[in-house]
Amino acid sequence: METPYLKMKSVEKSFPGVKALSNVNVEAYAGEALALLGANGSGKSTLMNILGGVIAADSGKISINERIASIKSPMDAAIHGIAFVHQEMALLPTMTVMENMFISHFPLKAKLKIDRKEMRNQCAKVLERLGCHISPENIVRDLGTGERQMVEIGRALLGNNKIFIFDEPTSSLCKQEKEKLISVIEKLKKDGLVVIYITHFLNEVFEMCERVSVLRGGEVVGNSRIEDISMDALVRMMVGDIHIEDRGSAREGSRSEVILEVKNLNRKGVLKNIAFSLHKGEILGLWGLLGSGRTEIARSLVGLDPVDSIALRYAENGELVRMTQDMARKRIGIITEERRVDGLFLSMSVKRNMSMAFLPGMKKKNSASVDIALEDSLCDQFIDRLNIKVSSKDQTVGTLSGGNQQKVIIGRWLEVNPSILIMDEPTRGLDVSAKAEIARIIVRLAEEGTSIILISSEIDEMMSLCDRFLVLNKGNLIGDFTYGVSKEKLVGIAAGSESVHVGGNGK
Amino acid sequence: MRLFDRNIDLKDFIFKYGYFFVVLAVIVFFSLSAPHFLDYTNINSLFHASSPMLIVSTGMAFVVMTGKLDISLGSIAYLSTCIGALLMKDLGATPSVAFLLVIIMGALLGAINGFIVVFLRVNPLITTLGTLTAFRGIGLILTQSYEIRMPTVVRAFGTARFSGIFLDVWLAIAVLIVLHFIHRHTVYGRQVTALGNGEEICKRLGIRVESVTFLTFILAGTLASLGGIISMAQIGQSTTFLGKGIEFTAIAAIVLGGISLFGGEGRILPGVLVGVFTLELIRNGLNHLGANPYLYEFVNGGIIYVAMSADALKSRLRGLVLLVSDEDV
Repeated sequence: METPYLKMKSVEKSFPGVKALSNVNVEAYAGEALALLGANGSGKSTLMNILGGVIAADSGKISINERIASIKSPMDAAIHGIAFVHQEMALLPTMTVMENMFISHFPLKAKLKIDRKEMRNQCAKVLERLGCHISPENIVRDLGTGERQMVEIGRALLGNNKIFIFDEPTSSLCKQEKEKLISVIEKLKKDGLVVIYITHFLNEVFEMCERVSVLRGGEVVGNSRIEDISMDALVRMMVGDIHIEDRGSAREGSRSEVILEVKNLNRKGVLKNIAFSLHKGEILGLWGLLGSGRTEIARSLVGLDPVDSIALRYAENGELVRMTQDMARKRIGIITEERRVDGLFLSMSVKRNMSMAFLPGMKKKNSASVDIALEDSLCDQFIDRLNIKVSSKDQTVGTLSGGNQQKVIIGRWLEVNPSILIMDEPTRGLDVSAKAEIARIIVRLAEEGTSIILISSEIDEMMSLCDRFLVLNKGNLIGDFTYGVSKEKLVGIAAGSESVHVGGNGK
Repeated sequence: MRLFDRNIDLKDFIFKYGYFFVVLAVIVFFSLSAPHFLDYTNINSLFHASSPMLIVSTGMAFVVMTGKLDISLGSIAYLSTCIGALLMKDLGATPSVAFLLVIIMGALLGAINGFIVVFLRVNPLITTLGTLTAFRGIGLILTQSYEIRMPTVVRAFGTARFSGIFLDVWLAIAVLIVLHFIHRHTVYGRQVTALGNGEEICKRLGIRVESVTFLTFILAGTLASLGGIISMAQIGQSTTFLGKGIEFTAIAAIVLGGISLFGGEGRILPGVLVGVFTLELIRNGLNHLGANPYLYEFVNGGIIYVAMSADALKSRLRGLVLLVSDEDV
């Protein structure tokens, strides 16, 4: 049997409060593409960041071409011929396309002056190879998302790289760009190079990869040649045993009274004439690819993002009443996408974090001061109810695990007890059991009558939780489905493969 | 959609060139209301007066383009020239030796800032706020706040001309050209702009963020001391006021010149030249009109405010432009 070109052996990595990788072994062969699969938060990005020198492993060995490679920085990775196409793009928006591609290895004239002509020529060649119709002199800021991704890919193709890591490269590409990329990858394989391909699209795996490694919860749960495995088996490996049970039918939610009606939501270039309604006790899923406008809708409802127009009506005493975004903010809780960035005060205690949104409600009567006893008791109550694992309610939030941090945010909103709760990627980066726990909390909240708008990139989570789905594509609301719609349909429509009119099967 | 695109172009146009029309209007206004404003002598002395600022602003521009600030530049100019003046007065150093040592001193003081920012990881603004006070304090102790007169040679340098134009103006222009070249055409220069786009991104791209930052503070310190020397030569003595507040005027000037305080944006030429020129133009013009000298401070403040607002507005509108093109993909 041939020897693998790249070997990662017994790789371990822990982050504060979470074991990201344990005893991971992965091998990749020259002339082949290895698909690296796993649910969000399974550790595949961590593993690739280690290979790319972005973060350091706690222990483990990497060998390239049968020699031990010490990779401590992105520079080391580059020396070993590892090119990393990042998912969240590493681009310099104010600089030109060619500068972005050459920033870590400018061609020089007389050892000092950057050789612009050489740079322009090489850059144009790479763009040509990618079939990308932009000029090397374009400023990256002025490019669209797909074009930016192409710049990122182009950077990897420059120079003498041996190992190419593509981290979800197709998520922002249009069809032609995708085809171009696939042909580029085929060419790389033909040249005897190693491709590591991270994706969520399983059909792409079967289309162009030779091998597959599946990660789950920081462990490798499967290494296989692609012809020895079926798509179903792959999905089972990725999802694992812990699975939120299927409910069989939609809960009462979507048939009950309307609590919020949104009409005429517009934002130039982002959202086009969005209109929908939300029922009491319903879990409404906003489904779409990254950049489809799902997060923007959620943020617009409470005025976090600017809009050009919006008409909100909210049920009050059984009647729909017109209200402004400001008024909406008092009734709608929002759990934002990046809990560590705009969700939590990391250096403050669990208690303070939880009471943050409800301080006005905790004032003592006829006094400006906060009722500490009430604050304590509310906090205790929700720590208990949400099963938050903390040493005390004065523990610093930054030291908690991701799942517990997320629960603190949920607890914060439960104190306020809004009738609508927006959750944007509430389980991102959590381990499987924490995910299941958050999912249970979501369902319980809905059963207690809270209406929930849920956004998640994980289709399985959406499928099992949501009573109704709104599908978005490039800022347009293109589908409205009830529970029971097939996974393929949702994924297909969001990706723009099928065209559907609003109300496709839902109403 | 067409119409919208055209609107964007108009905005772009205004942001790109609108400023030049404003400067033009200022020039026209002053030349009409102050008869000798456009005289050769006046223009020449206008550049003469702005040459220290041109040099200090160039250093500041590099720091700002990395997305940081160095507000200690005036104090670096002061302390390094104090030491030069003392060397000449007490130790009998020749002006050229003193000149060299002042420049080295500037680099050293810049390195102190760089060290604190890079290795002790202190916020640049806090760092240089500290050294702003400390460096000037050391200078005041060393000179016991006495003024030190310059030797004749040095004073002659301050007013010397070459081809009718002041020598320090030539020097400032040379500095601008060389640093423009460094910024646009060397690896270091491009990495300065890259840093302003986000240090995390740069680290992932394998740029040595620490070295670039460190080097930039040294560069700014060196240029500050050069600006200090010219200023000292022009005045003819080392005064306790030398360089005071120059850093804030420099920040205002470069923002006027289109170098964004958010980092990653702008050019040395014409940016720095345009910015410094505008501020000096207004000061000089108001002088010619016989306006109250204190009025300048007020007008200056207003200009800075408008420039900063325009900078913030610009980056907001940029965001909008981006989203529009996203959708067109």
